[in-house]
Amino acid sequence: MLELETGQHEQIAVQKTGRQPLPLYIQLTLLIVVVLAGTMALFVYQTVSQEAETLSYIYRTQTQALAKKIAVFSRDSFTGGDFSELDSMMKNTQIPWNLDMTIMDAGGKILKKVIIGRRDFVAPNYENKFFQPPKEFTPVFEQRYGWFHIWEPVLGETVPLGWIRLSYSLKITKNIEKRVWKSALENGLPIIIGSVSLLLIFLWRPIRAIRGATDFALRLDELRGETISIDRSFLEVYQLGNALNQASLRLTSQDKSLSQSKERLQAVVSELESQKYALDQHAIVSVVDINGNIHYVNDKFCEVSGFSRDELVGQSQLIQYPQDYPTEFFEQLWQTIAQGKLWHGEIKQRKNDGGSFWADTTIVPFLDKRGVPYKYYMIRTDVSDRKDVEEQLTEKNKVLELLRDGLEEEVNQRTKDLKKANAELEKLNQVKSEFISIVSHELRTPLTSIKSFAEILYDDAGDMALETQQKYLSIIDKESDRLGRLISDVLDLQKIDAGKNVWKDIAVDLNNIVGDCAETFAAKCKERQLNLNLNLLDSDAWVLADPDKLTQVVTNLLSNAIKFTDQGDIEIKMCMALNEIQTAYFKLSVHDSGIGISEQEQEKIFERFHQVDGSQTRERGGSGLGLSICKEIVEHYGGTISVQSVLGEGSTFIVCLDACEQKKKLGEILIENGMLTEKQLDEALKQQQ
Amino acid sequence: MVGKVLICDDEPNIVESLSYIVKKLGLAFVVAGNGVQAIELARRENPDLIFLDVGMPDMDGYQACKELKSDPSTNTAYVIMLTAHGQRSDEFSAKQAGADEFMTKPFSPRRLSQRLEQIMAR
Repeated sequence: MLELETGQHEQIAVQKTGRQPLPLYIQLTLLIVVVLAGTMALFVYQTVSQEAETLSYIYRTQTQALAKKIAVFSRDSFTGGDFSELDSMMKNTQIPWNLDMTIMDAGGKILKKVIIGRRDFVAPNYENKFFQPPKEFTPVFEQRYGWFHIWEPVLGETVPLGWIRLSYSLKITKNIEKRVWKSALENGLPIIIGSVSLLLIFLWRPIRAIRGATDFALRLDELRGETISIDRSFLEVYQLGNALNQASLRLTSQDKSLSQSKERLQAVVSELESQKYALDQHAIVSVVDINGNIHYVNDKFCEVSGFSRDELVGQSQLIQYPQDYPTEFFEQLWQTIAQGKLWHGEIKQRKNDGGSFWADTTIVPFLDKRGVPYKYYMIRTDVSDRKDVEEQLTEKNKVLELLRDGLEEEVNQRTKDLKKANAELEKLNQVKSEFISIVSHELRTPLTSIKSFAEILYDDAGDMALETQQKYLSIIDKESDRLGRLISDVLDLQKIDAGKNVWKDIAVDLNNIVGDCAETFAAKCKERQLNLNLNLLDSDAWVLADPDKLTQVVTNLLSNAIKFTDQGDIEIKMCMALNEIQTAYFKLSVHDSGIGISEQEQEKIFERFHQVDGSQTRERGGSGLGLSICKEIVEHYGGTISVQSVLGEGSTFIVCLDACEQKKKLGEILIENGMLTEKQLDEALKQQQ
Repeated sequence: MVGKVLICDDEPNIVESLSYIVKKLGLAFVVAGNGVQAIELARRENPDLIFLDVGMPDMDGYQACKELKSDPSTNTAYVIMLTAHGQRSDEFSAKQAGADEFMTKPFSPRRLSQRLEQIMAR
């Protein structure tokens, strides 16, 4: 965390250290005391020195005069050696200060000591060697050890007799000083005290105001926004109070913006910290200086690479790449980032254990003011897993692509097949529903006649002529037949469609079938006065088929031919031919000289319920299904059925069916059964060829 | 009962039964085998009622009905459409073509004559 208040704390600390000055009132008191005391001292000194000088002069001259007087007076005593006279004289001498008198002979030997005057001071007990009389016998003054000494020689008529020494303590002048000082103090002190008191009384309010201001200033942090009462004793104090109040108010106003910016800053810092934490969790981060030396690595870097931080920091960044890495790669990379451009790419990184990992890397150059990079942030993500997967995927993709190509082809093929099958089914379905719709219509038509006439006969038979009744009954009869045929034809077709038809295929002779059918229709032809010409093959015409079905085909064709021919011929012809692959087939043609079929109709006549001319077919009692059934049967046996016709001249229906190889086998069977000899069979085959 | 009926059907037996019913009611009638003939006859004979079969060659009943109903000389005739297709869509087509009535085959001659009496009484 960033310490935002460090600066303020330091400033306060600096103010508190160092010597604190004395309070103003003490300083001023001291100043007054010093000034007054100095003045007093000067006064005392001058007074004392004047008085002392006067006094010491008085003392000296008096003492000198006394010494001279004593010297004269004591001359006789020296000669007599009796100093009692002197003694008594001395005792009568009034001296206001103490005075030591020492009488010495000429050799310096002390003869007598007398203390004169007040006994304020006692002269020190001087030893001779330190206190010898002067050499010359002249009066000498001497100041020594705080005492004033006067040496006065006592002179005889011829020779010096000795010395009179008078000493007094210099302290007597000191007494004067003491006295003067005492009087000075006695007079000066009240002045000093008075002045100081006045001063303090005078300063009391401003000092109190300044203290209050100081206290306020010290607690301004907590008291911000509040104000103090302003003291008006001094301009400066007044200004100080004002300034503090303004500062306090300014602080509150600044507080808001400060706290806002502080909050913002803290939010930014905390966000940055979170981001760094998050980044460190995910990314491998390093900082490289301008020379390419590693400056910083994060924990993730160490964790992934296996290097310790000490092994990396300070080293060239090339340490982190495998040695076989192409140098051109780094030259290019370095060139990019040295220009201050971002670089992004994947780099293979070296691990401490000799392995490597792939890192998705972004290098961000940081530029100084001149726009020159001074450090590079390298942020990497370990993408080894992805790289591995990618490689595996590429491999797998190749395999998959091959597989896919194969599958696609298969799917395409199957889709095509399915589409085809679907289209066929749809078509079939449509055909079927159309068929059902048509069938119901076709069934209702004869039913209508039957119902109508049955009801008419039921209601009106009594009033009806017998002929009419018979006519109506015959209509019912015919229409019932028609209904029956229709139903059986529909069932036939349905069986074929559903694949439920039972085909009892055997090798049959088509010649035989055609011959038998022609015989059945002979009577009818005769009845309608038609010529029936039958032209069969000489040999057998073996085909593999259900004889009943073939009979149905031939019957249908013959019945149609007779039905639509009012006069002329019906011609039936069988022949054999070879197709393009040299297989033998039989061709049956049924020709009539009937009404014929137009070219348009020819295309449709094999369709179900298609009838060439409604009125005519109905008159002729067709179901409209006969040719459809023929076509289904013939095509079931791989054959073809077709029509050639000219309107008004007649039609020819042609059925082609493959010859059957069973023929020979059948021949063999016949031989086995003794019904045919081998010779006969060979002849038959030869004949056929 | 007085009136003229046009019977149009390609099925002779149905024409026979219809003409029996009409004759029995004492109505005059003419017969057409297909739509073209029906229109021709209708214009000429000016019938009061027309039985019109749907499934006919040359021109089907719907087409014929449309033409009959759009011709002012024939559009007063009451048209009954008869068909063996008895489905809703057929009835709808008949109404679209302007037919006055729609009947399915097989029909009952007894009920048909009752209905004819009602129609002709108007």
